[in-house]
Amino acid sequence: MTDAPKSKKRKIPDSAAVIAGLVILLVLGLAAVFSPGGTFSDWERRELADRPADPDLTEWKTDKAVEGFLKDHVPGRQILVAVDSAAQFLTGRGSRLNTWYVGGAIVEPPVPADTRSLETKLRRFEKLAGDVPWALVTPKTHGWLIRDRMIPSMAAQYDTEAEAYAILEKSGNTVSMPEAFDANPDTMYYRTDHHWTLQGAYQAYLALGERLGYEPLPLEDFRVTEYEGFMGTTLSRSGLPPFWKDTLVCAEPDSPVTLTMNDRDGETAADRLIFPEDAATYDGYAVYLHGNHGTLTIERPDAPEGTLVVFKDSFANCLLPLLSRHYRRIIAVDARYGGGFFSEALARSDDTKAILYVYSLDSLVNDSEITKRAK
Amino acid sequence: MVFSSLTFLLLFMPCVLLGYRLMPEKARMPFLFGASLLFYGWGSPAWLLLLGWCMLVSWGGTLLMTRGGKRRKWLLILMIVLDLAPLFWFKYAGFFRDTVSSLFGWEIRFAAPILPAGISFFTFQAISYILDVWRRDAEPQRSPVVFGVYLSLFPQLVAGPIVRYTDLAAQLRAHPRPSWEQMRRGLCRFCIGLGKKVLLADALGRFWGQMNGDFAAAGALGSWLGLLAFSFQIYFDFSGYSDMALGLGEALGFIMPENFDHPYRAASLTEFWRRWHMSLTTWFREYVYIPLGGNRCKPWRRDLNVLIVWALTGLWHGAGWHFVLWGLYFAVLLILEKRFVLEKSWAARIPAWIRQGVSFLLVMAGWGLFSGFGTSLLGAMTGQSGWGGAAAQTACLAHAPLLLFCAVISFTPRLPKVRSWRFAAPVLMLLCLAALAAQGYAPFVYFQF
Repeated sequence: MTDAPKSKKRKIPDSAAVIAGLVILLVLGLAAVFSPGGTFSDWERRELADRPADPDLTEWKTDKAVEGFLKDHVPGRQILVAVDSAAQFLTGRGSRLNTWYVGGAIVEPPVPADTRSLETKLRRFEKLAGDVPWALVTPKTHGWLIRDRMIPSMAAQYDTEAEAYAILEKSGNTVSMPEAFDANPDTMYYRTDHHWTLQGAYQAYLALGERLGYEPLPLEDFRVTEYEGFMGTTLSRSGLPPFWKDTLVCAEPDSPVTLTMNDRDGETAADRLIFPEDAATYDGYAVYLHGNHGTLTIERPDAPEGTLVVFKDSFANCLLPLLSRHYRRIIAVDARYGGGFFSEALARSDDTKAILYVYSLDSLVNDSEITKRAK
Repeated sequence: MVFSSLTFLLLFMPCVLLGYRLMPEKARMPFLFGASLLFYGWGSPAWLLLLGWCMLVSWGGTLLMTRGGKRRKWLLILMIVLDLAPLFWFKYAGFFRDTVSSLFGWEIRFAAPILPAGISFFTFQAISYILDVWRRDAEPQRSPVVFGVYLSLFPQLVAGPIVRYTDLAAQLRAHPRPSWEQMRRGLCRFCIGLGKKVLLADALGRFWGQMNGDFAAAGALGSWLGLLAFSFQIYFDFSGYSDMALGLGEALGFIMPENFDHPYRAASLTEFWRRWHMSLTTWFREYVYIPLGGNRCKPWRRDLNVLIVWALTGLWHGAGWHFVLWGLYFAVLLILEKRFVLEKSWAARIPAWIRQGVSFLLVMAGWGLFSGFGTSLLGAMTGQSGWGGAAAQTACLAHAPLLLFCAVISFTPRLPKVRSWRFAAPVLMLLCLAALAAQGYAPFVYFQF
């Protein structure tokens, strides 16, 4: 009896394995070292580390600067971050990335309640408006609306938001969103972004009609456009590979319009409110109003009402095109991008019909910039 | 420089390993010496002066010692004092200041210096060399470069294992050139250690760090799991470092003594300390416990020796009374275990898994003392502040799979062996690079010792 012939496995020689491994590492390192540095990372929306200048080897700073530079410029970094993020999510530790994956959507963790700050801001809104009618739109967060799908301990953390909502409800100027908003969170919010969808903004538009005194139009009366492949902020922040993508849906009235945008860099103008060229960038939400600006003015001569002043964060960007159907002029102020644009003179001009505050809960509670006065 | 930094992994390690492998024999030791100095001085070259001082004192002093005569003993004492002086200043000056101030109410003002990485390790290594030469267990090394390599060999320079000169002397003389197989084995072990550190210890450390000493918020569940996480973190961090050190050593052709042997599987505390940080335990046994008389004396004296050794072990780990308390805690337990448990027939009848569990719980309690959060942690663990809030419960749930995985590989007697690390090692390296690119590196826990 003879033994069956053993199958011969072709083994990689040790020398080849060692040399290949070390050379790959070295090539990655050298490629990082010789990268130009200082570039902007679109998908993370941050400046990458600059090449360390004037090395001071007598202290740890240089060591950390070199490490930071390599970390930001290692080739294939986006893939590496995606691998790490996927590993974190798969092992249940997504919260480290400040995003939670819940039933098909990536949501932000609960907004910590700073009730004193919130009450102070509401008083300031009141004071600023004076005799002018005003309303506040702060939608309930995506996480809050889908908390019943979370494990109990995660859902319980949203108690912090409950305190904030209770304070907002007490204020007579807070606009209550229609029931449809709370009942259909998956259509009101993007899966990959913290912003509401056109459907969400439209619910606010319906609710505001009663408060501000205009007759809301059906969505079919607007020109609706769709843009595929939207990857929002929460997806970017999570670092996860883009397995999920949303469709951006925009609506604007079909009549002549002028948009004037003021930023720290100066003033620019356009004759439209939707910018399809921005839909394909990493900040796809900039498709509305070409992103965020210190102040912007929307003028539509054929609209029936006078001026609406809006103090806002990016949540208003999807809403303003709808509102522009009713106001000849909308002046929108984003104090976070203008640095002190919160102006009483602006808010109480003779032609102002109403003041509208549109903020996400996070901005409203935690962003002190939004109530800074004009310098 | 840190093993788990991109600077090391992508630049230093490939250059040094390939360079060393290709270097002609005569150039190998100077190359390794230079690389080790670069490794230690990277970011803070001033600390090279300390390493240089330690080298100069130990190398020069032992050469003088060979001239013999009555001066040998005085030279020995002088060398030990000169080697220990920087350690005392950098590590214990602040501790001394605070202790004297609180005891006598004196106001002593000076800024405590920053602790240089690895000073405890290379100082102890230098002292072991001096004592081995003094006891004539080893011949003094005449080449400053070779001695420099022994003391500064970068794989084990900043966090051990503490290698005795007698373990490395023959290898240093041989100027080893590693075979490709040795390099492959060494790099595989390095990757395993890197995985332990980056994928397990750092993740557990973040969980423990999230509590930030606020155990009342963490509640009983959070505090228990937090301490469990800290116990695993410290093990995977340090044993991971040791694996990396031994792996790099092997890739350079040096075989160094093991430092860990699955310590959490120990069925007694005595066994635990035979498996945990073996090189430090050996050092204290050889150079403190046995010279004090070891076991060959009256029971009360033997117990006193144990107390002295463990108080010193505690102090070695850190300049703080909680470290001394931690050392004495183990001293008392080891004395009690030796007298009342070990080699008793009733103890042998207890199933091994119960003995392992009890040993682990006692070790875990020790880590509670070690952490410096003793009383607040104990209070929370006994339920004084409830089970913990929603955030703590979520964090516990999120880390439960990781803790379970760590428990399995720490306690399971025999895990199925990965068929070939040849393929698993690159995967581990990729995951570690991903974690480092996404999160950055965290320093090793044992760097502070």
